[in-house]
This record gives sequence, C-alpha cells and structure tokens, in this order.
Amino acid sequence: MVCLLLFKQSFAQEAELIRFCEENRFNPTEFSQKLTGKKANTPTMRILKVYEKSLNGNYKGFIHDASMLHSIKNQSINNAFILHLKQLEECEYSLLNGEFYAAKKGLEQAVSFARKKHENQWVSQAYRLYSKVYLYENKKDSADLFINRAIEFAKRSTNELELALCLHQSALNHAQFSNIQEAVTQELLALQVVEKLNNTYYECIFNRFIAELSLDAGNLREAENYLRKSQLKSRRISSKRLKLENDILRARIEIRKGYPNEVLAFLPSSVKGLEQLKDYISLGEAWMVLGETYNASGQVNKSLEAFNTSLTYFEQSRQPEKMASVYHQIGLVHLSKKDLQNAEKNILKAIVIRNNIKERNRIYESYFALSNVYAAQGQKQKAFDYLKRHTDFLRRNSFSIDSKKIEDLTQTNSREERERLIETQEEKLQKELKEKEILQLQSDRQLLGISIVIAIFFLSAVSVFFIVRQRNTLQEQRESEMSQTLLRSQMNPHFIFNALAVIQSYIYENTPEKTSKFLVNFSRLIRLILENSPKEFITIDIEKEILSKYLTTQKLRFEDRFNFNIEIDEELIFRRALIPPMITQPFIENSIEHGQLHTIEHGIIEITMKERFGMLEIVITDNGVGRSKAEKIKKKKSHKSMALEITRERIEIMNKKYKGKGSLTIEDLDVKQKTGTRVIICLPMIYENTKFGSYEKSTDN
Amino acid sequence: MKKVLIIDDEKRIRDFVKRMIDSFNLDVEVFTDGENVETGIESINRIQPDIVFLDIQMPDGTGFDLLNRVKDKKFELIFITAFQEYAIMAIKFSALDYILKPIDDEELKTALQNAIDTVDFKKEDSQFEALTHNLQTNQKRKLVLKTQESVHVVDLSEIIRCEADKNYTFFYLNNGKKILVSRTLKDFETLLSSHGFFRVQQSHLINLEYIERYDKHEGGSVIMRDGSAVPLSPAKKDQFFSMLEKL
Repeated sequence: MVCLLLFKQSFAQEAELIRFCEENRFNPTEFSQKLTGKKANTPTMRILKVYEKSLNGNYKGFIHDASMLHSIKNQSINNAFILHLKQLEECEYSLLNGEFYAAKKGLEQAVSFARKKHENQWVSQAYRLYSKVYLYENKKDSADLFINRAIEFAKRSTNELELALCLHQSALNHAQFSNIQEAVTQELLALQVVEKLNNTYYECIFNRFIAELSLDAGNLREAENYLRKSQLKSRRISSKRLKLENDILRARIEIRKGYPNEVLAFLPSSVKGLEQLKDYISLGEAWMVLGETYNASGQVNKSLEAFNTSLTYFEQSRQPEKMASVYHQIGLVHLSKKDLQNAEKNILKAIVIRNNIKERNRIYESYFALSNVYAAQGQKQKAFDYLKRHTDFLRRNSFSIDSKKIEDLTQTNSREERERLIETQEEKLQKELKEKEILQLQSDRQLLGISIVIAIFFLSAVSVFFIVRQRNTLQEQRESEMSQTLLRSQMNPHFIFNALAVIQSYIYENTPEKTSKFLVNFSRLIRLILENSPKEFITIDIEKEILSKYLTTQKLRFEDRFNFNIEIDEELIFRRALIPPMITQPFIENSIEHGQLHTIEHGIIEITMKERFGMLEIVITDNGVGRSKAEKIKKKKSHKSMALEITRERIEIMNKKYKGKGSLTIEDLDVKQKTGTRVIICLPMIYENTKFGSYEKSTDN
Repeated sequence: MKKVLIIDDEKRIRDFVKRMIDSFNLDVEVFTDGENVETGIESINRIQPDIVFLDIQMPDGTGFDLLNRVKDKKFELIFITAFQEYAIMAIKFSALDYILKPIDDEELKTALQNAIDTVDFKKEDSQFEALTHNLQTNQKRKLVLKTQESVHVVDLSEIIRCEADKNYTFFYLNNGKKILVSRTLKDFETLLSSHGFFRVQQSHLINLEYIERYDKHEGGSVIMRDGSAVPLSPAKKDQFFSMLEKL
C-alpha cells in the first residue's frame, strides 16, 4: 500500500516536471531546483536529470550521465515527450563527442518521431539541435536552413518560448559567422518574445548576449546598457548562475575600459562560484578573462596559468573557437614579454584552429599578431606576408562590416539623438513663436484679432476636412470589412440538415460504428467551420482539413459513389500561406450536387493548390455532367450563381486590399464533350507573417 | 392498400423513410424508385402512386420542376426538405404539406395519415398552380384554402378579415363569400402578418387595406369596408395605430 502510494506520488512528480518542460515559463534554474533531491530511480527521472545537466552547462556530469542513456530501454518509457527528450540528449551527446554524423542520424529520427506525434514544438527542438550540429561543423548554409525550419515549426507550436530559443540559436549562428547585425536583430526578436512571456531567465540571457555582441562590435555603451538590464533580471530571479555569468561580461567590459584592478576585486570569487556550478563554458570564459586581467595588471605568470586553466575547460566543453581565442591571447602575452618562440607557437595554434573551423573574422587578428611576431624576429618576408593578409581582410571588410555594425548598433542611440534634436528644435520653434506673438501684440492688436479669427477659421476648416475624410475612410474600411464578413461563405444550412438526416438514417440502420464515424467527422467539420469562418484568412492546412472533412461527409452521404483528391503543395503549407476560409466550398458543393458526381460511374473531384506566377492558384476539377447539361436542367438558377457572385466579390475585395490580380475562371474539362468542370481561382499570395512581421517592423525601423 | 412513392436523391434517406413508414403498420406499400427529377417522373407514371414524398433539392432540378412536368397529378403530395426557407413559405401558402429533415416520426405519421384520409377526394390542379405562382413571387401571393368540399385559391387582396372559431378559421372575402378552413387563426397570422394583416384581437385578423374607420365607442372597434365591426384589444391599441401610420 505504502509502496503504491509512493509510486503514485513519484508518478505525479514526474508528470509535473514534464509539464513544466513544455511551458512558456520554463527555465533551467527553476528546473534544476525542482530536480534537486529527487532520486534518478526511474527512466524518466534519469533522462530529466541528463536534460538538466545539458541545459545548465554541466558538461562533465552530462557526458557521464549521457553515456548511460543507451542502457535505458525505450520500452520502459511510457511518455512520448521523455522518449523525444532521450533522442535529443543522445544527439547532444554525440555532438559533444564530435560525432556529427551520429548526431544527425539521431536527429533525423527525432524529427520523424516528433512529426508522427504532430508535436510542432518537438520538431522545432530537433531542428534547432540540427542547426547547432551544423554550427559546430561550421556549415553556415545548413545551419541557417535548419534554424529556419525550426522557426517555422516553432511558430506553429503553441509554445512561444520555443520560438524565442530558435531565434536565439539563429542569433548564435549569425554571431559565429560574423554577421553581427543579423545576430543582434534576431536576438532582439527573441528578447521581445520572452519579454511578452515574462520569462525573466531568458530575458536575462538574451540581454546579456546582446551586450556581448555590442562589446564585440566595440560599442561599450550599448554593452553596458544591456548588461545592466541583464543584471536587473538576474537579481529578480536570484539565480546564482546568471549573476556569475553576468560578472564575466562585466569583467570583459571593465578590461576594455582599462580597469583591471576593478576586475580583480570581484572576478576571482565569481570563478569560485562557477566552479561549484560546474558550468564549463562559463568557467573557460571566466579563466580567460581572468588571464587577460592579470596580463593587463602586469602579472604575466598568473595570466598564463589562468589561460591554461581556461584551455582545459574549453577543451572539455568542445569550444574550438574559444580555444583559439585563448591561444591567441597566450601568444600576445608571450609577445609582450618578448618570448617570440612561444608567441609564434601559440598564435599559429590559434590560426590552425581558426582555419579548421573556417573562422573568417578573428583569424585576421591572429594574422596581424603573427606578423608582429615575425617583425620582432626580423623575418621581414613572413611579417610582410601576414600583414598583407591582414590588410587585405581589412580592405575587404572594413567598409561593409564596420559600417554595418556601427549603423546597426548605434541605431538606437542615433534614434534617441534624433529625438533629442527634434525636441530642441521644437523648443526653439516655440520660443520663436512666442517672440513673434509678443511682437505682434505690441504692433497691432486689431490685425492680430483678425488674423486669429482667420487662423481659427482656417484651422477648423482644415480639421473638419480631415475629420470628415478620416471618418469616410474609416467608414469605407468598416464597410468593406463588414461586406467581407457577410460575403464570407457560410456552409449551406441545407447541407447541415441533410447530414443530420444521414445520422438519423444510420441510427435507424442500427450501425453504431458507422453512425459514430459519420457523427465525429461531421462534428469536426462543424467545429472547424465555426472556428474559422469568421476569420478573414486561415492557413492552407486548416482549409485542407475543412475540405477533406467536408468531402468525407459528402462521400459518406452518397455511399462512396465518388472519390476525391486534395493536392496541396507542401511548400504552401510549410510557408503558411493564407486563404479566405472556404472560398472553394461553393464550387465543390456545385460539383457534387449539380455535377451529379454521385450518379455517374467513377465520379472524382480533384482540388489542387499551388503557387503559380507569384499567385495562389486553386484548381477544382470534376468529371461530372458538365456545366451546359447542369444549366439546361434548371434554367432559372438564380441562387446558385449567387455563390459565384459572392466569390467574385470576395476576390475583388482581396485584390483591392492586397493590390493583386486575383481572378475566377470556370471552364469545361472536356471541351468537345462539354463534360466535367474546371474552376480556377487565382488569389494574391499572402503568408502568415503578420505576427512575426510586427516584431520585425519594430526592430527594423 | 395505398401506394406511397419516395423521391429523394439520397438512397440512404429513401430507405430510411421507408423503414420508418413500415414501422407505422399502416395499410401502405412503399416504393423508393425516384432519385432525381428524371427517374421521379418515370416512377410516378409507372407506379401511379396515391401519395408522393418529394425532396425539394435534387441534383438535376427541384421537386417543383418535377411537379411542373407531371401532367396528371392524381396524388397527395408531401414535401421533404432539409432547409429551404423561401420554398417552405410558398408551400404553406399553397396549403401543401411538408416534413423537415431530420424527420420526426410523429410528424411523418400525421402527414401520412392526413394524406391517406384525403386520397379519395378529387384532386384539383389549382393548388399546384398556386404553388407555382407563390414560388415565383413574394409580393402578391395566392392563399390556398382547403375545405372539406373544395379547394379555394384566393388573392390576399380579396380577404377582408379572418375570424377564429376554436380550431377553425372563417375567411370573409370582398365578394361576400365566407369560407371555413380547419386550421387555427394562429397559423394564418404567422403566414399573413408580413403581408399587411394584423391581429387586432384574440379571435380577429384583419387586412389593413380594408379598414374604413376606427370607432371609439364601446372600448373601441375597427369598422371594415364591408360594414363589419371588429373589436380592438386595448393591449394592441398602440401597435395598431402605429401600423396605421405606416400605411
């Protein structure tokens, strides 16, 4: 009994932890707090612990635990998310071991698993890790491709934090490939998302990364600014790790400003704190900064020691770029104390690593440093060669990169300055106006009176004009929106009641399975229609679902006497193209009910949607009796052509709003026999960027 | 034994209506051979049914199209429809019967029973003509008044007023005729209130066009052009005068 109780309790705990992993407020600090003191006695718990270590940068612990992951049998895991997590962590493990191929193979499986489960967030996570693998391999295009996929899926998922994490990864990618501007842009987007979610932990991380990027670009003011924000956030959730990491950045900024002694006052204790946390990347960074600090304050030996410690941490956490930086620094230290041999050796190491990982930015610093070393050695030819490489790089990149960086990162500053300028100008103007007024008062009161009357008259005329115009445009807008709602295709009530009658007939036949199948399909359809018909646009995958449910219902109604086929270009679904809800429905209904698909043999209706000449082309084809025959049968068909008119009008409205050339064409499928019908609807291509676009707008400025 | 024919484009529905009718244990034989206008006409000519259940919306036309093409309509007609507001109003004006999908077995049974009871009476095309007329217009509709003996088709403008007598309604026409119909005044109120008729009192529905004057005596009454006086309910006074202003 007690055993059962304990089991139940631990089960509930696990369930809560899993839930937490998929929440928008998820953060590694709280996650590890929740995990402390819990025993890793179930497969789920073991996997969660591994996940925690990877999130918190505990590489040694992670590598140790993750190496045991394969011993956990998949059958022993009864939760899909945990299974997914296990796959991801195994890939992360391969990645850290430099087994990129294995990592990618694993991720391929993780993606297909997540897709099978229809979990967009999981797919996104897998793609995000994919991107990270390519980043480690220094393959820029692939890294970009996969993070963009991850972003697409993140946008589709309900978890917005995942989107932020993807944007962050994208920023990391750009930063590694020296595109600081893009990196900042992406990180600002990520920041906006987590700000909206109130996720303080990530607000802290993202602010800090922007500060780091600013520091790299040499904008100390912005760096300090964002670091302050990050510090504020870390204090709010009192996370030790975040505080310590902020300390490292603070140290870097202080060194750049030339205050090594300030750094020595706090950094050593921060390093001690980090050692407790076992975060290897941060430790490596901290020791590297400490090395720089000692060097700046003239303690050369201590500096070299610190750099060596840093190297071991970076080696263990597999950070070749960072290692190269450290070698470069060590080289510089040796150079400054005229140990030219060691200087050459270390800088060459840095160059080799940077060459290996195809680093294209900092390697030139190393060229320059090496040139200095050779110059000091008196090897003029070599010194000249490396100097030339350095200057070549400068010539090529100085204009583009530096101006980009400056433009981007000082953009906010300049905006503020512009605002300030406008303010002072306004003040000036007002002062001038006042002076004028006083002058006028003094000169002629009568004239003033008249001019005021004229001014007021003029102003009120102008404002009345504008108000009226605005009201008119508002009115127009409202009217067009309203007519859009009115025009929005509604499911024919006739269809709904007929479907209900079919359910009734199933009940009379006493076939509960069929009844239930039909009822479920039909109710899903009604739900989709209720949810989506009031919207101006829906995504194509939802439209596809509506159409397939609708056609399935019709098919069941007519006892499978016709077939249907919906073919939608994957690209459209992937890029989240938009379509007015059920714009095709009247034509499909027409095909079925008036094309008499259910009365002929092999009746089939085909719907395709694809992009054509930058437009969304929807084609509805049926092999029914054809228009002329259907027309002949009922001459006075006024209300069916109403659907046609409504559709034409909807397309017109869309054309006006999106300046497109949408059209509607109806033709015979078989021109000679005059049988079958083909309806072609062309609509302006619209993608669901609105939500994301608003983020972009706010930063593009 | 009466012959019943069901015409509907869904086989499933035809079978199910048959099943329902069979469960009533009436003295009828049910045929389910019509699935559209074409085959519907063919089956009517072949089977010569006494009663026809007719779907309105069919792939190759409507039930009304079918009726127009059947020359000798010697059957009782009951429409089956899922949703067709405009048509239902026209059917009601023409005093024809209809049932709604999904189908209530009580309604179906009543409609069928009524049809069986009247099968042996003489059929007149005037009722179907009125239906055709009513389907085409919403303005000057013709109202079919079915009595025990015959079928009257009247223009709305011929009706001066209606008076309730329990479950029956008296129609007073401008040619002095008085017709008794076995339907409630309430039924006619719902049909006629959007066509210039107003219920001035519990048992009186009047055509506003035939009002001569309002008499204040004895609590107030409306004098019609044929000289008849109709009491005006105090509760309806305000509404009545506002209706008059709109004329």
